[in-house]
Amino acid sequence: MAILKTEHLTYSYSTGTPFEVTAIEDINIEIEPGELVAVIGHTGSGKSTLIQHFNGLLKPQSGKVYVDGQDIWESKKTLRASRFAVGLCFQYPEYQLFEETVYKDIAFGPKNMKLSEEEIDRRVRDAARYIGVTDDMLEKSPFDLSGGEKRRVAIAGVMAMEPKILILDEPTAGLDPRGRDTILGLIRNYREETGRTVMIVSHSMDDVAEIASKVLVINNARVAMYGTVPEIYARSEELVSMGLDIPQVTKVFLGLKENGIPVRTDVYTVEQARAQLRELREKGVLAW
Amino acid sequence: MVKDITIGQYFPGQSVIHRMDPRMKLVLTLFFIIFIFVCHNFWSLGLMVLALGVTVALSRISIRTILRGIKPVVIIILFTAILNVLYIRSGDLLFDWRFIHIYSGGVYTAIFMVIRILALIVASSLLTYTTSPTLITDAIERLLSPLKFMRSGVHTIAMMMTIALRFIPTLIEEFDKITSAQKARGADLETGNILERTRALIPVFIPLFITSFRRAYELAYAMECRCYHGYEGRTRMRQMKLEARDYVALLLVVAVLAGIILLNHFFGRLV
Amino acid sequence: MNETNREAVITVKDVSFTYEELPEGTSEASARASGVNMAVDKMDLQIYDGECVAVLGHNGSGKSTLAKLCNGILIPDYGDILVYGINTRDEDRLLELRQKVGMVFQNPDNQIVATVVEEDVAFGPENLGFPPEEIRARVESALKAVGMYKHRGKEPHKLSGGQKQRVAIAGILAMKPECILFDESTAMLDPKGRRSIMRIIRKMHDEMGKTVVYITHYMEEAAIADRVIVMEDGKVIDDGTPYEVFSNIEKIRSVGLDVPQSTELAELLREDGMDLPGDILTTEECIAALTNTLKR
Repeated sequence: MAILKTEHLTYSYSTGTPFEVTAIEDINIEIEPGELVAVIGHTGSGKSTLIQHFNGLLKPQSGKVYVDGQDIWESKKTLRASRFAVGLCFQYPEYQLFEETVYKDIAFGPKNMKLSEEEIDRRVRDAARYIGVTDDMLEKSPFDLSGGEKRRVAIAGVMAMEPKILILDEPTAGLDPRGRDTILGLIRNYREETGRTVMIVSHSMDDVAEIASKVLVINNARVAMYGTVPEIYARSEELVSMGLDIPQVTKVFLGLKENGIPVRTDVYTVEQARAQLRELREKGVLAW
Repeated sequence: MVKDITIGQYFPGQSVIHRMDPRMKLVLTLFFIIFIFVCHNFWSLGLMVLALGVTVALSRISIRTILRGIKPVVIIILFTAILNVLYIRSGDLLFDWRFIHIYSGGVYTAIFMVIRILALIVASSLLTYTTSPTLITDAIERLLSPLKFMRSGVHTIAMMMTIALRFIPTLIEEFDKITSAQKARGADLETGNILERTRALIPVFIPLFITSFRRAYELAYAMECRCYHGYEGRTRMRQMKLEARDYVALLLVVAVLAGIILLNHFFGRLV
Repeated sequence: MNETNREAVITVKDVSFTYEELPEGTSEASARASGVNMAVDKMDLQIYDGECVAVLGHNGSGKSTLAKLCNGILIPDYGDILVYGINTRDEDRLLELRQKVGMVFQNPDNQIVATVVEEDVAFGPENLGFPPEEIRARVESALKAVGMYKHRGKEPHKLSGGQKQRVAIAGILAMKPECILFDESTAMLDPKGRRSIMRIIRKMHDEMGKTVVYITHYMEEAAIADRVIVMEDGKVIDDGTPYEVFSNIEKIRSVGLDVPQSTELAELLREDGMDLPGDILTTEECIAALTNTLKR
């Protein structure tokens, strides 16, 4: 059974005024448990509005959201349960830290869940471990940490709620390549260790392609594509026409194809590109 | 609801009232408010209301907007009216039942007072409806600038006002964002008694304050990099120039004042 | 680069700077002996008139500190910085310095002062005391240069991040600086906003003749500069044309930065015996070179 399912989800801002904007329209998706889904779309595509429906922060104007088979808007109780079942970590989450110590900040979510002290402690330590928050950091003030460390503490705060689905909105925004690789690596570890579902929202395919198992492309308020990473890259031309960023090698291969060189365009790493060219040479299709 | 309050809001437009020099608008609005208290019979008050009505029509602000501006103070107006009706004992006795005695003088005074309060609100909100907060701030700064001894103080306050106006929408957006983030961590901001709800806001306000301080620092750097060094030697791109329409407006307002004084004189005093 | 006949507009001479509090009069030697962490460490650098320079480095490499030092926001603890002949320590000439060298910051929200776009752009020239007509002319040409003229009457908070950043750039342009520093001005923007800012940066150099220095950690952005300076631990570890810098893939990787995929692919294919021209950085260069080789 799908861990997350939406039926005909539609939402507009400023309804009933001349400024009405349809943010998402007729969204039907089913996410299987354990997937790591990259949600791709540019600013204004509706992806942020969409994810805020998954934990009930926004109420659908029409359509339904099911988390683990449960309609989250059925009652107050199911709605509150969805807040914890779907952990949503916003963009630049370091700006939501407020507690005196890192430990207390990570414990904020589990505390709101009214768990026992021991359970909270276990969850804080587990979450800290997944995302590389060390024991000596736990006792520090979150405001004494570096930018990248603060970001990880904030993510730990959501992980500690042990949500069935963890959703991260642009977790690498503003980070340098090393910071980005660290965070993505840690998220991959979290998913491998816990087996829980993860969704990562991003502007570009570059960042998340390497760790995602599925890609959901949102364009003009609708689902444009949903499939495995190679399936999506096989349609790179469409991604480009939607104004989405694709890796440079993919662009290079698109250009080669256009110039009449018989290459497949589903490559997104340099290694894949080299392997394909080697293969084509061995087959005698290309020569140099 | 908060969003229903339109006092202090600005409705952009191109009417002659919108385009008037904000300094003149500010001064004439003050005149108008004083007139309201100069009027002491229905004839002069009538002239004043007429003048105000013409101004509203010229501004092209819809009557609905004007009425919405009045809504929040309806209770105060009713309260004033009832007090006047019940406590003023002059003129003929119109109604007498147990402890309620209503005299004609009370009714007249009540009507008079209600019109005065309404006029006061309409006149002052017309200023804000047709003038952006920045322009009002600017106008105050320029009107007070001949007072040399307080020039730099006035400038500082005006600059602070401008920055506050600039950052209010940004901070509201920030507040919403942090609120959503904390709700996503299970923060319950909607239930519980006042104490609990206040405490629930701590996770929202601490990050908001921290971000605001950071913004303040960065803004200060940015301003310095753009050569801001206080009032000395600073010029302004926007020049405020009195145009024909401003002098016409001044003339008309003086005429209304003369009319009010004459009518006051000829028809005697009601209050 | 033909450096000998060009005039250095920014000269960084043996500069060290630390964010740690140093007691008054601490000598450089004793500061170092006590293990002070230098954000900029014994740096020497010259930026020449008319250059388009990218300063590349990861967070904490000292690149932003360098930008702030060049604008007199921070003053070196040791060494001197001369900007158009003005020492940044000379407080009396700070206004003159800042008029010559404008700075655009990272967060677009925190550098817009006024509630209307055109009034914000006017802020700098107003502070410099120009007559109103002159300010108006500067504001209009600055807004046109960044493509924001039609938004001149809008409230800044209603603009997108990229548009706000363009307003911020116009605010600097209106002061008519000779040189503009960009301190990670694209870091908070989406890809579209980032591209628009990079186009404007190039335009200011190519068409308006400004000396441009931008700080970034995105290699795609550094790749379009004329000169790339790589910083690590407060020091310059590499300085040259983009190709000279990025062809040293190992070195760039070792300091936690990315290399353009085109450059890396070309390098790998050369290992496989493909005969490719040097200088492959951009997608277009890579497509052209590969097409050329494979079509033969």
